[in-house]
Order: sequence, then structure tokens, then C-alpha cells
Amino acid sequence: MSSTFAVTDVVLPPALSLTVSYPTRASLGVLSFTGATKLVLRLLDHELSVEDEFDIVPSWVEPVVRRLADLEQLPPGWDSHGGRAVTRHHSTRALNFLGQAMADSTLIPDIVPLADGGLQLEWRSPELEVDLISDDETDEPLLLVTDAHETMEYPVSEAVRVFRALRHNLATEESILG
Amino acid sequence: MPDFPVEPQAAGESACEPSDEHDVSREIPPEGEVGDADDRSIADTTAIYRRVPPQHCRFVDGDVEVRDGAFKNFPKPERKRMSVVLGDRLIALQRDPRTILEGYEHCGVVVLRAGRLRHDEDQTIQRTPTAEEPAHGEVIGEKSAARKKRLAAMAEWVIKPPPPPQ
Repeated sequence: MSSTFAVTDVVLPPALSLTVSYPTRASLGVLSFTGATKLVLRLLDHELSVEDEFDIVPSWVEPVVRRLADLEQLPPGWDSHGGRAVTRHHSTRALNFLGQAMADSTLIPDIVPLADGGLQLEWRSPELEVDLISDDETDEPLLLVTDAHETMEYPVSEAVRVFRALRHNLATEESILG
Repeated sequence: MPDFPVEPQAAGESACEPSDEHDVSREIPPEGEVGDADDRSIADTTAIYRRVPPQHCRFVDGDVEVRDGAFKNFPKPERKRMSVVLGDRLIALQRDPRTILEGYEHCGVVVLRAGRLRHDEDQTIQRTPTAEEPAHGEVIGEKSAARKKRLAAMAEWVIKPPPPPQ
């Protein structure tokens, strides 16, 4: 079964984790929910469709996957300083984090390419800045939380727990553009 | 505010698409071969310009902010170098900062001060002229995530990028 993608308002149960991989641009997304359900997202000429009988997708998935696909196509030197396109390695890391950390009501992050093929997920609210950075300078992604006083850094092993504790502060209007 | 009057670029003057030839990465000798020594001929008051692509701009309420991702080191992390344009050379060459954007009209330019980079952020600065940019320089040193945030906070726009297409 194939159908036009429709955004739905679904909140993933807290215990449900989401792992993501997508091997080629033509077959962009394979989202495997923990358990048995599986769905496929396909991006062809910017038309996203869902295959399988499962059409419940968190609302952040479509714009995030589209954005990552665009960033993977950035031309060499896109930043005017010799920057590289975002690599599949870093976009997969970002998706894996989001799959575990996001609630459907959470602000969709700005997704910002970094010069070495990495990326930065940015959430901004009046009181709080939250960033997840995945790049070639560090072995593992890093979560940054900045309030009025300081910036705290958390390793990836703590990132999901910390983000979930903060995400009620990051539940406002949507954003996706870099 | 910057101490050089530059008119903001007209909105929508150019498309937010990269120019054809952008890869200005260059071969840099291995670290240690040329050293990371600070070039003290670059005065603390020198303007240090950094070109900023639209991907590293946050357009908010009709204004624009520079993202910390704009201050990442050269794509080879071991180099710990960030490309800049040195203001003292621009003056010597009788060039306006707007010339930094020739071929990169979709970008903006921010300015930092050499003294703050040295004394507040533990960076060194070198002159590394290239054929394309005789005023080219490099800001050398570790740029942690927190440091990049501070650099973004201290940067001031000299030329704002054109807003994204609606």
C-alpha cells in the first residue's frame, strides 16, 4: 500500500523508541518502531509517501527527513569556506536522537549544517537554548543546554534523559529552516 | 556597532544560492610545520572579518542573528583554523569590507576584534594570504561548543545577508 504522506498528531508512548536508517536517496526512510511495526518513507522529487499499512507518523518526521535530505545535497563549499555536505552518518545520529527524545508537541528544531559534514539541532525559547551537535570534532554527539547563566554539556549517554526533562520548555511554534 | 560605515545590502538583491566556485579550502601544511604562533603585527584593535553563509543565519522578526555554527574550524578538525579576512590588510589594500562578498553575495559578514579573540578566547591569529584573498588570515585554536556560542554573541554584523525568499 502506498499513500500520500499525512501529518498526524500522535504522541509516542514514552517507552517507545524510534530508530532510523535510510540507505539511499531514492528510498529515503525506513523507520523501525520498537516492536513489530514498520513503515517506509520515500522521497522522490520532494514527494513523500508512506508505504505499509501503518500511517501514524510523528509530525516532526516529515520536515526533519526532508531537511536532512536537502542538507546531504549541499554543494561542496556551500559555506564559502570549503564546507562539506552533511553526511549520512551525522543525519542518522540526529534522527536516532530525535526518535528517542521528541514528543509530538516538541518544537521542531532548526537543523543547521556544519562545515565538516556534521550538523547542529537547535531549539530556542526565551529562557533556554538547547543544541545537539554531531560532527567530526567529537566521537559522539553532544547536548548543550544554555540558560541565562551558563552552558552545560552532556554526553550522548545522558542526552535523551536530559532533553526529555527539558522538552516541556520547548513546545511552541514549529521551526525547521536553517 | 562597527566603526566602519557600511550600508546594509539591499534586501532580495541576490538569491540565496551558493556561487559556482566556492571551495576555497587550501592545502595547509601539517600543524606544527608552520606553527601556530601569534602574529603580533596584527594589532589587538584589528577588525577580524568572517563571511557567514545564509545557513548560519537565524532570521527572526525581521532581523538576523549569526549562529554559533558559523565559527567552526576548517573542515579538517586537526587544523583548528578558521578562515577570516584581516581588517588591517583591507585598509592597506584600500578595500571596503563589502569586497569580501565578491562572488558570495548571498552571504553576510560579521566582525570580531583580534584582542578579544586572543585574550578572552585563547586564540592566535596569522596572516595567510591566498591568491583569491590577499587579506586572508586564520584564527587558530580550540573552538569548543561553548566558545563558538561566545564568538557568535560577540560578533557584530558589518553586512547582513539578504533575507531568505518568501
